[in-house]
Amino acid sequence: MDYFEVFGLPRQLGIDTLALEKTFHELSRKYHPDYFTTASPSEKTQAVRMTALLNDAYRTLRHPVRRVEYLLSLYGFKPDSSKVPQALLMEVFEINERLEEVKGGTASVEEADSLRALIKEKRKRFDAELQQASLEWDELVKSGQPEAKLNEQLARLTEILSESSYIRNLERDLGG
Amino acid sequence: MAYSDKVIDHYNNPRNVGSLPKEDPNVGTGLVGAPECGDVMKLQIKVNEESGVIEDAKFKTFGCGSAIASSSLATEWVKGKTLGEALAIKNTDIVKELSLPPVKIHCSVLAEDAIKAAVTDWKKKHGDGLTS
Repeated sequence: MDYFEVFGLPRQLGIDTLALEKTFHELSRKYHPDYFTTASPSEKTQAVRMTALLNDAYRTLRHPVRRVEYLLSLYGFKPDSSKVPQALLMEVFEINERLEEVKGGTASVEEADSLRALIKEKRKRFDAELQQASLEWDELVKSGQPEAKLNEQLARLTEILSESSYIRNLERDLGG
Repeated sequence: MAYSDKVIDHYNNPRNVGSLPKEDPNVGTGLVGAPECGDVMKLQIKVNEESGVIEDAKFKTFGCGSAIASSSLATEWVKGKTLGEALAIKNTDIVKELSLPPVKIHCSVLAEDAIKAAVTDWKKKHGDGLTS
């Protein structure tokens, strides 16, 4: 049973997180150990397994980036270091070098601000791109497009996602 | 998870940190990155055109301790080697030397990729782009 199936959802990326939370609480109650005190050992084990699966599924699906990562893994797609665009690496390297100076205290206040703005801007663009590509995926699935089309979109999502950890690290190194 | 003594040593005293002039015709630059963890690694070699021997190597890595140690070790190893010998360095050699745990194997792969990219860049500058 995959995470989408746990919640009775189609393999789509547009997920109403409030509805997801509600279903999560309902299902958590349904499989709660308290309701299985008189059940057979195998039913007890099954309930514990479902609870664990449910927790993993919820943690993954409620997060827009992890949700995409998971969808990609279902189709055997994963970030490939040989496919990270050279331009992205150069940009990330340069930002890291600037960041090093800011953290080392040798950069001006203006430089720190401009770097902060740059990283913020990258985050905004990344989120927008991922959201757009996610919407496109849902459209393709809903309109029953052939596998080749779907694979093309999965490749696109993989490419966008390859930037995710770089942005996350930059934000972490900047200290929020 | 604990780092091995060798990783810690390279992390605390990284060898050959820095940059070589990218535009120098005798310098090959490799810039690689691992999208899983967001590490980025630059490795440069300076090659003697006559002998084909790597005379100098520098690196700069933004990433975890294992990535820094892997690239530090890689620069140590390629120095004094021919391009062919440098290309023969395998990530498994780095894993063994640094006792990297399975979750950090990709750091050694990155270092091997960086060596290959630097050699490829140097060859491209010398009109030998595709063969290794």
